[in-house]
Amino acid sequence: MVGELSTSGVLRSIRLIIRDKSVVIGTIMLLSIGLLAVLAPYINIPYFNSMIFPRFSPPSPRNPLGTDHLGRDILARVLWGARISLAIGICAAGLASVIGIVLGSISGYFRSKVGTVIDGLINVFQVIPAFFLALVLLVIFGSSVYLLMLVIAITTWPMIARIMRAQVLSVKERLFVESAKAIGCGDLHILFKHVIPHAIPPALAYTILEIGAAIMMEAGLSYLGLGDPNYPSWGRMIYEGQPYIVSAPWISLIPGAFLVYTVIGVNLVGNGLLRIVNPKLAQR
Amino acid sequence: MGVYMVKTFTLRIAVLVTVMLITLPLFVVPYEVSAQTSTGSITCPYKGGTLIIIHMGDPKSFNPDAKADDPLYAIASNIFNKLVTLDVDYNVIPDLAESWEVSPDAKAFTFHLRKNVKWHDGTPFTCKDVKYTFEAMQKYKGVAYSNLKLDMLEGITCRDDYTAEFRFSDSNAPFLGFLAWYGTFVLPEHLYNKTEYTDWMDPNIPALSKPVGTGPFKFVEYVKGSHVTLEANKDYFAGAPCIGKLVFKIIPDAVAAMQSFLAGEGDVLGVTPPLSEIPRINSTEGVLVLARPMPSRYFMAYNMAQEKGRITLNKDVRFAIAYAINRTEIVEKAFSGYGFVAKGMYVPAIAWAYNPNTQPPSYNPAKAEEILDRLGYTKGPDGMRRLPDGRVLELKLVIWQGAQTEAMAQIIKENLRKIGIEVKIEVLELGAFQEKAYKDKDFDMSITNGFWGPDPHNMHMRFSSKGSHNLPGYVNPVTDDLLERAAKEPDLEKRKQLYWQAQEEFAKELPYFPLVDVVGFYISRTDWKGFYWELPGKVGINVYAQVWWAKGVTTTSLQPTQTTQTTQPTQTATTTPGGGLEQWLLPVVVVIVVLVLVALVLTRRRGT
Amino acid sequence: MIIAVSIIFFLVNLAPGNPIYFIAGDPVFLSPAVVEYYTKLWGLDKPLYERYFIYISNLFRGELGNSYRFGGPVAQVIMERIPLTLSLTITSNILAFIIGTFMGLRAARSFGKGLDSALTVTTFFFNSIPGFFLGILLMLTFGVHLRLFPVAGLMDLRNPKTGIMLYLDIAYHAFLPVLTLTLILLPAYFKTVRDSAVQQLGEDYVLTLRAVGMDERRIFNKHVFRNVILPPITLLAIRLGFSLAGAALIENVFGWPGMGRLLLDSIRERDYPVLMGIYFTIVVTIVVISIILDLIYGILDPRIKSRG
Repeated sequence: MVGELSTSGVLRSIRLIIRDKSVVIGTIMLLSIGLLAVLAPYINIPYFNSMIFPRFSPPSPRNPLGTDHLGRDILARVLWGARISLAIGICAAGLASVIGIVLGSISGYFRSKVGTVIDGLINVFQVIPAFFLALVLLVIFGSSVYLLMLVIAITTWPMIARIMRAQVLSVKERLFVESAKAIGCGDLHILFKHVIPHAIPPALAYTILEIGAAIMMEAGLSYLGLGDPNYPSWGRMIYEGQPYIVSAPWISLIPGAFLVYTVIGVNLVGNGLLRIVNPKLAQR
Repeated sequence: MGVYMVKTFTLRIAVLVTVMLITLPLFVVPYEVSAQTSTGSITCPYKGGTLIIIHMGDPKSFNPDAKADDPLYAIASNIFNKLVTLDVDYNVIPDLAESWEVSPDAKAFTFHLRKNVKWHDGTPFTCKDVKYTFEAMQKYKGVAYSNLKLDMLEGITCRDDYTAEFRFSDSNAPFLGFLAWYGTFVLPEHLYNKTEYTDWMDPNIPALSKPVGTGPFKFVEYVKGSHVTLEANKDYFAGAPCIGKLVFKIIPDAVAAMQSFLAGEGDVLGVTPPLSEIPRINSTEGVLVLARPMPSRYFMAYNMAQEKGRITLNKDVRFAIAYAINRTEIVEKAFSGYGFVAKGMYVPAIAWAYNPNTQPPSYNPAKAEEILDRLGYTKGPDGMRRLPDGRVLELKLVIWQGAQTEAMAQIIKENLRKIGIEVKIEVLELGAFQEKAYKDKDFDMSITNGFWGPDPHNMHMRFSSKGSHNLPGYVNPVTDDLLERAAKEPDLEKRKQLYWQAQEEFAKELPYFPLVDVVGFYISRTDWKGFYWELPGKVGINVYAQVWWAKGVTTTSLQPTQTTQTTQPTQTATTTPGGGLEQWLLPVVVVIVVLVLVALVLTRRRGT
Repeated sequence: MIIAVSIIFFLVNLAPGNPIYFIAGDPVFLSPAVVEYYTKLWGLDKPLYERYFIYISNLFRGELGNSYRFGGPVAQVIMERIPLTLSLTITSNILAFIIGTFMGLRAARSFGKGLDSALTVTTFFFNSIPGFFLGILLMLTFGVHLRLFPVAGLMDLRNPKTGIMLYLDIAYHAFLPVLTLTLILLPAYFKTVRDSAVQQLGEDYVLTLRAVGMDERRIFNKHVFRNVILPPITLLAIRLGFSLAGAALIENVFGWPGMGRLLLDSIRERDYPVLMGIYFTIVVTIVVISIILDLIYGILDPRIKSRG
């Protein structure tokens, strides 16, 4: 069956992926950004915080993407920003997914007290509007790159947990699980070695989408001024360019464009994976 | 089938109606005529019109003395009066008090109040109102409580209806200055002093939401988040104002405020725009931008709290950091040139107390490097200096959130990076800043700004160990003593000497490093004249009593601006942003037609 | 739900930043006497758990307390702003729902072909843009460069209108924020409907109906539609629940004085009572709507199953 984590399953999935055009496009987009991000320190661009250029210059040969209000080169900042924004997005989503997968699986598998408690936890966290909670946390503790990752992860794990839980619930009922139990395998052993690998694909696909959501959330939080001022994440750049939006729009619009580009890429890939995992939609 | 037809139909209608509702107002052109006749005395070349101020925020209430309420301040200045007030040069000028005497020991202040002043509801104003206001301030700890040293207030006596005497248990030299400044508006005793109210912020007090004052404008309405409307008080003691209505349009966001102003939706821009936009605003037709230095400055405080191993406790380090900071660059980049590299340890704008001989260090990065090398902070392979134990020399710079402070912090970070010091910026929003910076002192350096007037006693608050607002946590018995004595010294010349000495000490020790002296901007449309910044000595800050619509008088010399209906008191032509129906009539019609077509198409394929 | 409220209560109260500092404004005005006065007035001197119990008991009585900033009752402060935010979010949600559903259905009908791809791509794009960024873009294009719509605020203040004109004026100012929100909300509705419709079209009963000779359009409109309409309605309901909190960023961009702004301001100024009040309102709304949803599901579901 499609969606299982077995070698043939994976290969089949990869074949499906390649056939899906949108996913290919998305992957290309992501790889391009990722490449730029990784290579940033080696390209010959000015230091992202050097203020040696004339302020507010529109894009020109010397500064291909223009300069900002302090005279810093925007191209350099955007490339470094790629590293920061991607790092925040990936780590936050990763963290959220780890928490979500673990808690979701436990709650799905153990219908006992533990399961109910975690259920309740998931419900509570779902009711709290994510953005709101993030706001309050950041206002309390100030802001830094690591804190942003943490905060975004804390507010977005419930979604993944729910998916995981639903998956585990259905996988749990399958025959091979029953047989494993009959043989006498321990619960935890069954959970980790058998149930989770079968239940995980939708959660993983969703995690990819979470990366996009995390990047957007970071942008939103930075837009309110809660980003990390020491690094030029894209959201932070949009925030800094806000007051000059009319006279020097490129300061905000360029990082915004990069952001949209990246999120589109992420969404294409994530959606593609989701489609593979839910085969019914791939038919007809 | 029938059910579905109905559903389609209703859906179709819903779409059409929504579309229509949304686009209909575009076809409407608003008109309003308001004419004012006034029995005048403030000379009014033209009477009538509505002046719109683009304002920074919602007032928290309409009691201007209970809490700090910056958004209320400008509004309250037009509804209420103080005993004395400050003009645009921060000089004390008379308001409700025509004249006053100060005892030689500065313990007793006698004010002679104006006669024939009426509250907006007709009740006469007397000394009883003054007595109530300040006693309430004392009892309920109004915002000016500590400034006015009301803890030392023994009592207020009304010798007669128009003479008020304040008695203090100790000498209160700065009293007049602070009395003219903030949170000292006189409130109507007959509306506030009732036994059924718990205090002066009791929600049952009608005057809290419909204020009654003695000022040039009466309260009309307040729509939260949108605007406050005032109308002229024809019985104002200085004469009826020339304009008919005064409206404060609330737009806190600097960019939106600027946009709104440029679009003609306001006549005075009361929100400071991004400084880089000033040239553009200035060159806009019909707009006038004036700049004046203010006794406000941005400064950097070093953490002076005693703790083992704290680097900023080393005077040489403090000087080295100061030498490394390029303040000219800060003025150019963070302030777009609209500011001054801070001069002296106190502000030049309060001229009598400013000591020109004590200047903070100027930009000299070579000297900074030399000092740091001498102290043993050698540079590592990455260019960053190391502490004796090998860790990178890293300092924490804490600021509160704002475009200006953040820009300054970035520049300082870069300046210091060049001499090998790593700076980690921490941005806190204002509330967290006040806790972490002021209370916990969790920083190596911190930048803040502040109003350093109207009296040099401000220095006591900021840098004396007993000061309520000592950001660096600075303790120095020498300056403490000088500032305490100066607060009690009635003789102006002796006070000045004491403050000069204090500044010398500050310049030697450098517990704080003044960065930029602020320039204040007055941005208005040339259609209007008579603003308080044009009339020093006559009108208090923020009071719009003397403003008149200059466009209405064709004989006065004005810049040639776009001609509109010249006799209408309200500028109807500039109301609709983008001026002119024709410009957007066509695209709008197209949009509507398209939407209608789309709706029809979608609904036609369905159901039937 | 109580747990949720409690978590926020503790968090908020633990936050650094004493609200008293805000009463004083510039800390130059601060003095121990002032601090003491207000601490007593607001009961901040009581230990944390005591304040907690007082708050919860007040909650049960329906009492939300008084705002630190405004001095007036929290309920009133919130009530004043709610209609503004709701007018934005409800309008946008309904518009997005209607348009999204239409588009989703059309797309499902031409699955895999031109219209479907075009619509999918467009909505995909809007799904990937942060709301505030889109708001900024629209404001720039329509508000500044084309000067078609006002840039900020609620209404025209130079010539304030009354009655019908007032409503129209507000609607005019609301256009851009509503447009932004609608575009952002649209993709989710679109996707839900489309996916659901596509799935339905693959179901057996559709094949049966086709075999019987029923007209394609009729199959679609009468049967598929009914099965498809439920998920977006669910989404609509959920979204309405979250709507109070949702529009904060967009309100910020357009200077729309609604609850979002109130929320941000309250956080900044540590107006705990208002903050808790807003939060409480949001949570209550969400919970209530969830309950209603469950009830509706119970009613609608068996009926659909029997028709399928």
